[in-house]
Amino acid sequence: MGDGMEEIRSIFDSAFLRKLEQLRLNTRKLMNTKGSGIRKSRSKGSSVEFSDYREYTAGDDFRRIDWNAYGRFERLFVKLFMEERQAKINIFLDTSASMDWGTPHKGIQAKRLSAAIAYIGLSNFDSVSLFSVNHRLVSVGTSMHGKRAFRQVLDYLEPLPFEGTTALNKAVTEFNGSGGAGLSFVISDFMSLDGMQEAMKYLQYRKQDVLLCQILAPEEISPAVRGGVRLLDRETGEARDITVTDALLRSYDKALTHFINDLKAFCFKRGITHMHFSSDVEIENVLTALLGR
Amino acid sequence: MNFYSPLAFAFAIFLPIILLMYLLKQKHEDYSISSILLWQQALKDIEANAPWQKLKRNLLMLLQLLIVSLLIVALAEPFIVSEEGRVNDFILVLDTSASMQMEDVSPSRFAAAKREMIKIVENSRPGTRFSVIGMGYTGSVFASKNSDRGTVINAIKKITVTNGVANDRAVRAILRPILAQSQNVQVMLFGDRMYPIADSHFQFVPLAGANHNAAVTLLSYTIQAEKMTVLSRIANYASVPKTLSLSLYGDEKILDARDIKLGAGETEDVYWQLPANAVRLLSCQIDTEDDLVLDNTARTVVNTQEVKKVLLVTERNVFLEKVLALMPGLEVFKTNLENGDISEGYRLYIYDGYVPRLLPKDGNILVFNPPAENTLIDVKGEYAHPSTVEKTGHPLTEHVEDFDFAISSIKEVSVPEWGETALKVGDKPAIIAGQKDNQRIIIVGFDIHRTDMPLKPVFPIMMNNFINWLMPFQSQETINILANEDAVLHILPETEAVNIVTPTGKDVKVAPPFPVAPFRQTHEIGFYTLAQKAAQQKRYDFFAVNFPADSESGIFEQDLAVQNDQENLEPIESSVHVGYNLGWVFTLLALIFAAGEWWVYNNGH
Repeated sequence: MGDGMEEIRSIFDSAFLRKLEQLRLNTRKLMNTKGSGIRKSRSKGSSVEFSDYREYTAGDDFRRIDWNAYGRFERLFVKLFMEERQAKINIFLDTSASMDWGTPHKGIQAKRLSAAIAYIGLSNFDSVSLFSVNHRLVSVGTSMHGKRAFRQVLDYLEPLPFEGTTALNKAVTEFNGSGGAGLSFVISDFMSLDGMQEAMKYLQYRKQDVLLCQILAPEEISPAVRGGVRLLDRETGEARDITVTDALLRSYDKALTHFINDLKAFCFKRGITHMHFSSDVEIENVLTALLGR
Repeated sequence: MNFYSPLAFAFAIFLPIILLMYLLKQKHEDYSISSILLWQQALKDIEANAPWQKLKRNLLMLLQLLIVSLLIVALAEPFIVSEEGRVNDFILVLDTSASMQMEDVSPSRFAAAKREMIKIVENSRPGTRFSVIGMGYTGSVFASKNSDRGTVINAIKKITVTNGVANDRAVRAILRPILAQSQNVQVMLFGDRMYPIADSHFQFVPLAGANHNAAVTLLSYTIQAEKMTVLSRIANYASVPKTLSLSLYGDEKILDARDIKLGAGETEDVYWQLPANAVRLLSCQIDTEDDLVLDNTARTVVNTQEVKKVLLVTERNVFLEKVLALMPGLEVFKTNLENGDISEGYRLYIYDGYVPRLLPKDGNILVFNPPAENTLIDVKGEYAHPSTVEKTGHPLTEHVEDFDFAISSIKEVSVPEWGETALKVGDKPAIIAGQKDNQRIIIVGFDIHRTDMPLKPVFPIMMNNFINWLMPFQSQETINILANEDAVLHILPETEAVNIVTPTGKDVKVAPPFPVAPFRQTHEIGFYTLAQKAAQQKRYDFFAVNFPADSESGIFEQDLAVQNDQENLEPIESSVHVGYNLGWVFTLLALIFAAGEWWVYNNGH
């Protein structure tokens, strides 16, 4: 996965990271509105563990301005305290073989998106956990804190192989929910053999606020194949001889729309955020769309 | 509806092949996808919505099967016989000449021609009348205006091929009155060369192939100084160069062999050296196989130079003595008139101004200036200053161009029953020749001394003609003839019975009765043996019957190109059609369905 490493890291230049930091406020807003229940006790609030300084921006509680620092630097800094807004962020990344496909590569885009979300979480002093799932829970990147842990995130993500079939219902229910309530991102194509509804219900049961990021390759959205072909499933190895005609492509398009709409309808009913995007969309646009809601 | 080429239905084998190909399906190109889930959904959908989806693929197959079937029917050349312009009378002429034996068309040109004829008879409408004529050395009618198909087909089957040439004039003569009388007649000639046997209502069905034939077209020899040089002429009629193995046989034993290379259409003379008088029967043979075997051998019979005894009875005739002494192969015995009544032991008796009382029986007779009283011919008198000499065209005056000689006095004779006039002076006979029983006799009505003829070139020529006629080198005049030609036999005067043994061993009785008629049964190619039986002895002579290679061996397809543009070996089908060919209808239908198939393939939904 040496190449994968390069590919994932390639977008995390300073300019991109700055953009991600811009998203922070929105994240917080998201936290405040949707994730109000995931806060640790606010009463302890401002008191305890000092974590970091940050420049004052409009909207910050001016009671927390460090006037000593102002005395030294003549600039306004706000003291940041760890407990105050630490949220638990879980990122479930589908690493089944079906993600190892497409141009641009679905898996790499998914890894980039995971890293970006993780970065946002880390820079907000949230606890970030990464889960690799296919037909089971493959591995866990343990709770990570602080911006410095971003390197850890990348080191975890990069070598993850894409293999096995997708069975989200089974894999996600292997998550034990330790760490309590939190925000769960599920990044997958959701081409799951056993569906995904049980998994989502389980996450909600585990007091997770769920966001579904459905990533599809352009070839999946509108296949460019014509004529007699033998379809080979990357996951199961299943083969099927078909003749691709205009009629079949129309039928495929209908099946795809149906598939996405089903997912959307389910999410709407359960209060789950859902978005789908093509792997050729820039990650920052995805994030803007995802976190801007 | 009938078919000209029902064999084309063999192509029906393609139908199961198409089915098989559909069963095996075409191999699909591999296309890797992330997950088959959506595709399965899509396929389920399309199959649920369109239950005829599978049928659609079958529709393509059915269309293809239909197209192939139509093409096969088109190839089989269906036809219907139209009512208009229907021919009631067919005259089928079959070329039975030697070249029809060639096997460049399977199984041979002749068999293929018969097959085509029978096909026409079988496909004819009831009531159609057929006449069948074989065109060989003569024209022979095998069936005449017969409407019974079985009889006509049997008649066709009975026709045999000959080794001779085709006599188109004879057939033309047979056809002329028939064509003049009838209407709705169609003359069809089945052969390898278009002979103009009819001017209208004529159709030629060519049956020649490419001809990979080679032939020995000539075999002859000369003898000089105890050596015999044999000339054989070899022709390669094929369109490709050939290497031919040649063998020379003498008395059926191999004498020499060699290989020659001949370019396409080339002819080469091959010479062979042999000692003189070593063999009697010579044949030259090409051992390399080709389309026609018969013309690979040419035969000839070598003249045996036996010395013939001649008795000359004269008082003194320097001209005769000189001219006889110059002729090869003669042993001349001379006597005077007093001892002139020798009547035994010579092949030829020459009497000058004398005829014995008792004529000899064992030899031929030449008489100059017969005396008034004789036992041979009636002499009425003598007349002087006759008018000019006139040519009669008799064989005895062969090669004589100038009759510019004068005769001062001549005997007036009446032409006997057995004789005919060979030379006339005015309106009276000067020379009489003929055959009396077995004896050949020439009577010259004037004295050699009373003419200037011996001083002119005419004399040795005529004398040579006389001697050759009276004493041919062989007992038959033609040593080499072509198949089906008449063999003119010369029988020795003392012969009592004549038989001829053909190359296949058939013994044919020729005589008696005498005089012997020309022998006509020369169909077989090879050496014939002529056996003459006299009271005390038997004599055997030979003659060769050859294949007419010059005219027959070289007939091949290109000769037909003028009449027929077809290039295939059997250009029959396209030209024999008597009905209305429906092939194009089926071809057109096949094209329409092919277009339909294309449309279905592209817009299959």
